Amino acid sequence: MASAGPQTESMIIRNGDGQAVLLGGFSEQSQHSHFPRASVCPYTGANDVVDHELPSTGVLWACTVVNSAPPGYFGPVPYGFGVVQLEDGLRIVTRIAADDPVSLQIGQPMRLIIEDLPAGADQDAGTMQIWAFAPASDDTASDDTASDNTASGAK
Amino acid sequence: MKAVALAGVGMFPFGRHGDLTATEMGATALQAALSEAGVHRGEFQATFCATAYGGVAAGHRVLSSLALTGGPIIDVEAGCASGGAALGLGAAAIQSGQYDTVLVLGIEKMPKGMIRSSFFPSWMETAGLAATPAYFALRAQRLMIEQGMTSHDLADLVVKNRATGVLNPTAMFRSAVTREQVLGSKLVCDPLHLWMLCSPNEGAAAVVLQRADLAPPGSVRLLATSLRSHLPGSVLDESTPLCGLSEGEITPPSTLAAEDAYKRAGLGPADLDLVECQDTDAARELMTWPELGLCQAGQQTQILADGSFGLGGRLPVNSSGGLLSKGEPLGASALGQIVELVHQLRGEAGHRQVEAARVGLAHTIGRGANASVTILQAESHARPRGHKN
Repeated sequence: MASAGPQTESMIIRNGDGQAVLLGGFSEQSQHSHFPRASVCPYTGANDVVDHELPSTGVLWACTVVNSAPPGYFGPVPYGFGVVQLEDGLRIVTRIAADDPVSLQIGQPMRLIIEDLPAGADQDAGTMQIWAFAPASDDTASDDTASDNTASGAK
Repeated sequence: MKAVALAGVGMFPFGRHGDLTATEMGATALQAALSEAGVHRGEFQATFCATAYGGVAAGHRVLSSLALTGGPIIDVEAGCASGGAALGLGAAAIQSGQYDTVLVLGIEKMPKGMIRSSFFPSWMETAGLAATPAYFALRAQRLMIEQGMTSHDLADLVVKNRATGVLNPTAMFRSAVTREQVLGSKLVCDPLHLWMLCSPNEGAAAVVLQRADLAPPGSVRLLATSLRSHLPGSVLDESTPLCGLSEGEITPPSTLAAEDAYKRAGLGPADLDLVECQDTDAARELMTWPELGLCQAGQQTQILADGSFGLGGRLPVNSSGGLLSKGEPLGASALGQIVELVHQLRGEAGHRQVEAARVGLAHTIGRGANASVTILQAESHARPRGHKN
């Protein structure tokens, strides 16, 4: 039973081109987007929030590595963890998928990927999908949208 | 508005205490505070008990064990600022004339290992987005980038606090450390090494607040206590959101609380003789100094180098040794800072006495976000016995 599933499933959706994107919210009154999609703007309390697909690219803003499994986490360690500033200026907290997250440069381009993590300690606990950002490499410049990635965490 | 004094204080030293319960530790601290204040059963009107993990009726269990129930007993949770929040409720009740004498108690027996906070929904734990030290690490990294510091500064902050912890009989860690030892300790989440992070532990602290005209002569005065939460928009603030804005300056909750406390007390940072400041991790203290108006952003490296905020410097910060020396039992830590300030302002701090200590500030910041700032002053006729350090 992937109890963590439904919450993240509503945060990751398919856009018109079938690509996985993050679903946030946007408020016209506050002129800001937020994530995950909330019913009320978390900055101003405005009630005019509408669905809003977040940009899938951005730059690295902060990054560290988690070396031991925190309580309630069944995925691999170590894993990268940080903040990416998206193209529209929104900063989001995210896993960082890279071989050596600490060697990444603050400000370097990053792109959205989707990871699968174990949802529990048992084999039959299933998986949950979660967003992560990976370095956007030059030779995939034409591929700037997320693709499913069954790798779980930093390699 | 009635003036408020701290008629008595008591503590159960912070550490790991085997099978002792939070209730037992709290009772010991409370008895010490009541004894110092000369207050007995029937001579106080309310109790505010600060605890984050103490569970239902935590304050009742302490007072029951001492046959002190009957009046209102209210548990208060405000993260690391729980004690500050409880103090604020007690002080306001006296200032308004509702009560004359109030007990304020903080107790905690922290679970071992990485803190599993009920703040995070389980999906965030499963996703790996609930590792508390990782958030501290990101804040440390941004501090280093934005205010020009390095891991040497983080280590030197630990050296400063651990040095005065040696002089505090109630601290858990009472040995000095070197920069090399701090940087050589295990890397938890880059750039934070193990010794840059305080240890969650166990303990209790208690204060008897009383209308100043009823309190024993020489009792320290409470000039102001302020509690504030975060303004939204900062991705790495202690409300631990999943997003934040990149435009606009958002005033941190520590600054909101400090500005209110300075205003109520009628003084500013230049009037302070000593400060107890949240050092959950080394970066947390360093980023707080400018938030409280103690220095400009970016001056921290120089201050560490010249010892201005060490014992014997112009403004000792964390003369108690800080959480880095004492450890952190959430509900008790803010009141532990108050106990330190009271001893300092009464001239009873022994080898770590700050010379001519008259005005002290205590600051906490934690999950919520909750920030509390309390300003205390030595009683006007009392002359603290300053020791030259």
